[in-house]
Amino acid sequence: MFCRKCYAKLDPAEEFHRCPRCERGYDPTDRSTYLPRPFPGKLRIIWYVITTSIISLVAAYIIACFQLAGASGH
Amino acid sequence: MAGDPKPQPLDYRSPAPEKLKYLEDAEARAWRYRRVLFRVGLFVLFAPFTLYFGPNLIKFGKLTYLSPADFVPYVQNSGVPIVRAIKEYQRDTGHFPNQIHDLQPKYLGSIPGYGADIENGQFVQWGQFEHMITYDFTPGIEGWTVSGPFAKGPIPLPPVTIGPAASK
Repeated sequence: MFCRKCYAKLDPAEEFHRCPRCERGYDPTDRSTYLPRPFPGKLRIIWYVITTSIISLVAAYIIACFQLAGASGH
Repeated sequence: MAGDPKPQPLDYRSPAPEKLKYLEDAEARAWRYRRVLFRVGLFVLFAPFTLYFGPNLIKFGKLTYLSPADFVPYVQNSGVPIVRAIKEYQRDTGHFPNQIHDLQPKYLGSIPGYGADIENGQFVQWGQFEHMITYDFTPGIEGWTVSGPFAKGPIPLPPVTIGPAASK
Protein backbone atom coordinates (compact mmCIF):
# COMPACT_ATOMS: atom_id res chain seq x y z
CA MET A 1 0.00 0.00 0.00
CA PHE A 2 1.55 3.27 -1.15
CA CYS A 3 0.66 6.96 -1.10
CA ARG A 4 -0.91 8.23 -4.34
CA LYS A 5 0.86 11.56 -4.03
CA CYS A 6 4.41 10.85 -2.84
CA TYR A 7 4.60 7.03 -3.20
CA ALA A 8 5.60 6.58 0.47
CA LYS A 9 4.83 3.25 2.08
CA LEU A 10 1.60 3.31 4.09
CA ASP A 11 0.93 1.33 7.21
CA PRO A 12 -2.79 0.57 7.62
CA ALA A 13 -2.14 -0.59 11.17
CA GLU A 14 -1.50 3.00 12.25
CA GLU A 15 -4.29 4.78 14.04
CA PHE A 16 -4.58 7.78 11.69
CA HIS A 17 -4.72 6.84 8.06
CA ARG A 18 -2.44 9.52 6.77
CA CYS A 19 0.73 9.36 4.71
CA PRO A 20 3.69 9.78 7.09
CA ARG A 21 5.54 11.90 4.54
CA CYS A 22 2.97 14.15 2.82
CA GLU A 23 0.08 13.62 5.23
CA ARG A 24 -2.38 12.80 2.47
CA GLY A 25 -5.33 10.87 3.89
CA TYR A 26 -6.32 7.43 2.65
CA ASP A 27 -8.86 4.73 3.36
CA PRO A 28 -7.45 1.18 3.61
CA THR A 29 -10.83 -0.20 2.53
CA ASP A 30 -10.99 2.01 -0.59
CA ARG A 31 -8.52 0.97 -3.30
CA SER A 32 -8.90 4.27 -5.12
CA THR A 33 -7.26 6.20 -2.24
CA TYR A 34 -3.90 4.44 -2.37
CA LEU A 35 -1.62 2.71 -4.88
CA PRO A 36 -0.90 -1.04 -4.88
CA ARG A 37 2.69 -0.30 -5.96
CA PRO A 38 4.82 2.88 -5.87
CA PHE A 39 4.27 3.72 -9.51
CA PRO A 40 1.88 6.21 -11.17
CA GLY A 41 -1.66 4.97 -11.60
CA LYS A 42 -3.53 4.82 -14.91
CA LEU A 43 -4.95 8.34 -14.66
CA ARG A 44 -1.60 9.87 -13.78
CA ILE A 45 0.07 8.07 -16.70
CA ILE A 46 -2.58 9.48 -19.04
CA TRP A 47 -1.97 12.92 -17.55
CA TYR A 48 1.79 12.57 -18.09
CA VAL A 49 1.24 11.56 -21.73
CA ILE A 50 -1.07 14.53 -22.34
CA THR A 51 1.26 17.06 -20.71
CA THR A 52 4.30 15.64 -22.52
CA SER A 53 2.39 15.86 -25.82
CA ILE A 54 1.53 19.50 -25.19
CA ILE A 55 5.11 20.35 -24.19
CA SER A 56 6.38 18.50 -27.27
CA LEU A 57 3.98 20.36 -29.56
CA VAL A 58 4.90 23.77 -28.13
CA ALA A 59 8.62 22.95 -28.37
CA ALA A 60 8.20 21.78 -31.98
CA TYR A 61 6.39 25.03 -32.84
CA ILE A 62 9.13 27.14 -31.24
CA ILE A 63 11.86 25.18 -33.07
CA ALA A 64 9.99 25.58 -36.38
CA CYS A 65 9.63 29.33 -35.82
CA PHE A 66 13.34 29.70 -35.07
CA GLN A 67 14.30 27.66 -38.13
CA LEU A 68 12.01 29.68 -40.39
CA ALA A 69 13.29 32.95 -38.94
CA GLY A 70 16.88 31.79 -39.40
CA ALA A 71 16.17 30.78 -42.98
CA SER A 72 14.55 34.06 -43.93
CA GLY A 73 17.20 36.11 -42.15
CA HIS A 74 14.68 38.08 -40.07
CA MET B 1 36.11 21.56 34.66
CA ALA B 2 37.66 18.17 34.93
CA GLY B 3 34.49 16.48 36.25
CA ASP B 4 32.15 17.76 33.51
CA PRO B 5 30.83 15.16 31.05
CA LYS B 6 32.39 15.29 27.62
CA PRO B 7 30.00 16.91 25.09
CA GLN B 8 28.63 14.67 22.40
CA PRO B 9 30.09 15.38 18.94
CA LEU B 10 27.59 16.90 16.51
CA ASP B 11 26.65 14.49 13.78
CA TYR B 12 25.47 16.55 10.83
CA ARG B 13 25.87 13.73 8.32
CA SER B 14 23.18 11.45 9.71
CA PRO B 15 19.55 12.23 8.89
CA ALA B 16 17.38 13.90 11.50
CA PRO B 17 15.52 11.39 13.71
CA GLU B 18 12.11 12.53 12.42
CA LYS B 19 13.25 11.83 8.89
CA LEU B 20 14.65 8.40 9.59
CA LYS B 21 11.32 6.67 9.04
CA TYR B 22 11.05 8.12 5.50
CA LEU B 23 14.40 6.78 4.37
CA GLU B 24 13.91 4.53 1.41
CA ASP B 25 15.14 0.98 1.28
CA ALA B 26 16.61 -0.69 -1.81
CA GLU B 27 13.21 -1.65 -3.18
CA ALA B 28 11.80 1.85 -2.79
CA ARG B 29 14.88 3.25 -4.48
CA ALA B 30 14.40 0.81 -7.37
CA TRP B 31 10.80 1.97 -7.77
CA ARG B 32 11.93 5.59 -7.71
CA TYR B 33 14.38 4.82 -10.54
CA ARG B 34 11.56 3.16 -12.47
CA ARG B 35 9.41 6.27 -12.08
CA VAL B 36 12.25 8.50 -13.28
CA LEU B 37 12.92 6.10 -16.16
CA PHE B 38 9.25 6.26 -17.11
CA ARG B 39 9.27 10.07 -17.26
CA VAL B 40 12.55 10.17 -19.17
CA GLY B 41 11.31 7.43 -21.53
CA LEU B 42 8.20 9.47 -22.24
CA PHE B 43 10.32 12.44 -23.29
CA VAL B 44 12.60 10.22 -25.37
CA LEU B 45 9.51 8.78 -27.06
CA PHE B 46 8.32 12.27 -27.98
CA ALA B 47 11.78 13.61 -28.90
CA PRO B 48 11.62 12.60 -32.61
CA PHE B 49 8.35 14.48 -32.98
CA THR B 50 9.64 17.51 -31.04
CA LEU B 51 12.94 17.80 -32.87
CA TYR B 52 12.23 16.49 -36.37
CA PHE B 53 8.72 15.48 -37.44
CA GLY B 54 6.88 18.31 -35.63
CA PRO B 55 8.96 21.23 -36.95
CA ASN B 56 8.85 19.74 -40.48
CA LEU B 57 5.08 19.38 -40.27
CA ILE B 58 4.70 22.98 -39.14
CA LYS B 59 7.16 24.40 -41.70
CA PHE B 60 6.54 22.30 -44.79
CA GLY B 61 3.24 20.53 -44.11
CA LYS B 62 4.97 17.15 -44.27
CA LEU B 63 6.78 14.96 -41.77
CA THR B 64 10.15 14.73 -43.51
CA TYR B 65 12.70 17.37 -44.45
CA LEU B 66 12.39 19.39 -47.65
CA SER B 67 14.11 17.87 -50.69
CA PRO B 68 14.60 19.08 -54.29
CA ALA B 69 11.86 16.66 -55.36
CA ASP B 70 9.34 18.72 -53.38
CA PHE B 71 9.82 21.58 -55.84
CA VAL B 72 8.69 19.53 -58.86
CA PRO B 73 5.00 20.62 -58.83
CA TYR B 74 5.97 24.26 -58.31
CA VAL B 75 8.50 24.18 -61.17
CA GLN B 76 6.10 22.39 -63.49
CA ASN B 77 3.41 24.99 -62.87
CA SER B 78 5.41 28.20 -62.87
CA GLY B 79 8.89 27.55 -64.28
CA VAL B 80 8.43 25.19 -67.21
CA PRO B 81 6.10 27.53 -69.22
CA ILE B 82 8.66 30.35 -68.97
CA VAL B 83 11.61 28.16 -69.97
CA ARG B 84 9.56 26.80 -72.86
CA ALA B 85 8.86 30.38 -73.95
CA ILE B 86 12.59 31.22 -73.71
CA LYS B 87 13.46 28.23 -75.88
CA GLU B 88 10.81 29.15 -78.44
CA TYR B 89 12.14 32.71 -78.53
CA GLN B 90 15.68 31.41 -79.04
CA ARG B 91 14.52 29.01 -81.78
CA ASP B 92 12.68 31.74 -83.66
CA THR B 93 15.12 34.64 -83.24
CA GLY B 94 18.40 32.75 -83.02
CA HIS B 95 19.50 34.46 -79.83
CA PHE B 96 18.78 34.31 -76.14
CA PRO B 97 16.38 36.92 -74.68
CA ASN B 98 18.15 39.65 -72.71
CA GLN B 99 15.35 39.95 -70.22
CA ILE B 100 12.19 38.12 -69.43
CA HIS B 101 10.05 40.99 -70.77
CA ASP B 102 11.38 40.25 -74.26
CA LEU B 103 9.11 37.21 -74.25
CA GLN B 104 5.94 39.28 -74.11
CA PRO B 105 3.47 39.14 -75.62
CA LYS B 106 4.23 36.59 -78.31
CA TYR B 107 5.81 33.82 -76.25
CA LEU B 108 4.51 34.48 -72.78
CA GLY B 109 1.10 35.88 -71.91
CA SER B 110 1.92 37.15 -68.46
CA ILE B 111 5.06 37.36 -66.39
CA PRO B 112 4.87 36.32 -62.75
CA GLY B 113 4.89 39.27 -60.36
CA TYR B 114 7.56 37.74 -58.10
CA GLY B 115 11.23 37.32 -58.85
CA ALA B 116 11.71 35.55 -62.17
CA ASP B 117 14.47 36.71 -64.48
CA ILE B 118 17.17 35.76 -66.95
CA GLU B 119 20.70 36.12 -65.61
CA ASN B 120 23.94 35.01 -67.29
CA GLY B 121 22.16 32.71 -69.68
CA GLN B 122 20.15 31.07 -66.94
CA PHE B 123 16.53 31.30 -65.95
CA VAL B 124 16.30 32.20 -62.26
CA GLN B 125 13.17 32.19 -60.15
CA TRP B 126 12.39 32.55 -56.47
CA GLY B 127 10.48 29.54 -55.13
CA GLN B 128 8.87 28.37 -51.93
CA PHE B 129 10.58 28.99 -48.56
CA GLU B 130 12.98 31.51 -50.11
CA HIS B 131 14.69 29.02 -52.41
CA MET B 132 16.22 29.99 -55.71
CA ILE B 133 15.27 27.79 -58.63
CA THR B 134 17.57 27.89 -61.64
CA TYR B 135 17.34 26.43 -65.13
CA ASP B 136 20.70 26.03 -66.81
CA PHE B 137 20.54 26.01 -70.64
CA THR B 138 24.12 24.75 -71.06
CA PRO B 139 24.05 21.59 -73.20
CA GLY B 140 25.15 18.55 -71.23
CA ILE B 141 24.24 19.97 -67.85
CA GLU B 142 20.87 21.38 -68.85
CA GLY B 143 18.27 21.10 -66.14
CA TRP B 144 16.71 22.45 -62.97
CA THR B 145 18.48 23.07 -59.68
CA VAL B 146 17.34 24.48 -56.37
CA SER B 147 19.38 26.16 -53.67
CA GLY B 148 18.20 27.63 -50.42
CA PRO B 149 18.13 27.26 -46.66
CA PHE B 150 16.36 23.88 -46.60
CA ALA B 151 17.08 22.16 -49.91
CA LYS B 152 19.92 22.17 -52.37
CA GLY B 153 20.58 20.13 -55.51
CA PRO B 154 19.17 19.12 -58.88
CA ILE B 155 15.41 18.93 -59.21
CA PRO B 156 14.43 15.54 -60.67
CA LEU B 157 12.81 16.86 -63.83
CA PRO B 158 13.85 16.25 -67.45
CA PRO B 159 15.12 19.22 -69.52
CA VAL B 160 12.41 21.28 -71.15
CA THR B 161 11.93 20.45 -74.83
CA ILE B 162 10.04 22.22 -77.57
CA GLY B 163 8.85 21.14 -80.97
CA PRO B 164 10.21 22.41 -84.31
CA ALA B 165 9.15 25.83 -85.54
CA ALA B 166 5.80 25.92 -87.27
CA SER B 167 6.27 26.22 -91.04
CA LYS B 168 4.79 29.32 -92.65
